[in-house]
Amino acid sequence: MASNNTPPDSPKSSGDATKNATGNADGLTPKQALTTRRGFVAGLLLVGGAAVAYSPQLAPTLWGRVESPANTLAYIADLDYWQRTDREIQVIAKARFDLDAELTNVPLTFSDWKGEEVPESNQEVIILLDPEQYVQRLYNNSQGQYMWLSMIGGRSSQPFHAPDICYDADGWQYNLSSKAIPLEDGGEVHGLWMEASKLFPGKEVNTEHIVFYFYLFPNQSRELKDGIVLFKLTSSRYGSSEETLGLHADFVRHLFKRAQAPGV
Amino acid sequence: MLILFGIYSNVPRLLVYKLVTHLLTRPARISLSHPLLLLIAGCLLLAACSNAAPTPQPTPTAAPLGGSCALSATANAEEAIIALLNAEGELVVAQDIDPLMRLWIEEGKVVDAKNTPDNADDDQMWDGKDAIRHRYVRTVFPGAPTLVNHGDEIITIDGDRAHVESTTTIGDEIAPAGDRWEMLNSDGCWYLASLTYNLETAP
Repeated sequence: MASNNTPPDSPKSSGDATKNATGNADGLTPKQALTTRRGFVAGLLLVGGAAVAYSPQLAPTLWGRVESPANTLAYIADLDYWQRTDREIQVIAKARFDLDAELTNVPLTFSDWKGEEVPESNQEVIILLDPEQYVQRLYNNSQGQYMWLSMIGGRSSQPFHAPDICYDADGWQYNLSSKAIPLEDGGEVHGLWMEASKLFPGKEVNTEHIVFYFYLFPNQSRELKDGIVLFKLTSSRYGSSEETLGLHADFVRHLFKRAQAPGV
Repeated sequence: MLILFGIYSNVPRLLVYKLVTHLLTRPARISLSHPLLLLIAGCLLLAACSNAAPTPQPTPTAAPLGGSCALSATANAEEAIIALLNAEGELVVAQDIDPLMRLWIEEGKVVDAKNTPDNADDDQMWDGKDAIRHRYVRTVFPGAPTLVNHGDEIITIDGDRAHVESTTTIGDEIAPAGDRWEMLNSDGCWYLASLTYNLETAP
């Protein structure tokens, strides 16, 4: 066996192209090379193992934030924006509902629903609410049923007048309750449910509005500066309250897929 | 990376210091199977697996007492019911929503009779605790009442149910016999079950 006089821990410089008889570029004996290679593999395994073992603890430091478990669009949904309620939940959305994105990017077409933008024509509303984003859409389905989607975003409390207060001020009579909508991949999201009616001059029957709404926050700290979005659906009554709720639920399920306890 | 691991585990710093010193003083070729290196790597792995900084497990806590049981002890049902009504008024003034909601049953109702007690068609209802909470927060609290007093109570108790007619004073506004409360007793605690207000006829 050819040997060289190079000590094992004094390798030649990387520019040295001389090979020993075994073809080893580092000038090691086969035994030395085997030992070094074995050590390298053992060390690599240990480092790899350590990286796997420590990754959960290091992830926030290395990457700055904790990824959502679903690695998708997670928001906090609640019935109120002032204080947390028992209904606070984390929802996994199919579109972005935060003020760092354009709310107009929420799909206009999905499943059987086709929507169109209907900009708010009453400038007093915009002046009064002063929202950062205000999206108002009218969706229709093949059954001829319609659904208004209003998304109002802001970083102060000014844009968030409770819908029932506005209806009351406009002379509507209403009953308020809450409803839970089960989502496709599990969990349910709660919203306030308002059944409002008003007899308009010249009409013989009451006009009815059914409203389902909740608030969305980009994170659990729920600070105003991070932005809040009011998600509100309004339709006419289609059959019973339960049937109308079914229609609202169908709409919601196309935009939100799962609900789970916050922080899971 | 190894130093980072040292920071994030309970491995004594001396060990890390020794490794660094060793690496700096040794010639360039260090076998990764060096006993010291293997020892430290093993310690780091054990430290990681031992979950030195465990995620705190949620501690099971008893649900806060509700209804009259969340208030000072009373001698009898009538006192408990009056205490319940007084607490409702005080918590409205304090705008303390969570303890306020603990006075109510889940299926509670609030009805505005609109000063037409004989005509239910124009009634307005907040059905369930979520809606009642919403009414407090969005309708009652913004008025910032400094005094809410349910006086002149006429209490009728029938087993686990109680019925109270009262005159409510909210600030300067007095509603003589304008409120009707229903209470329910569950496990020895009295809860608010419904409130119908504006029962007095319009002047």
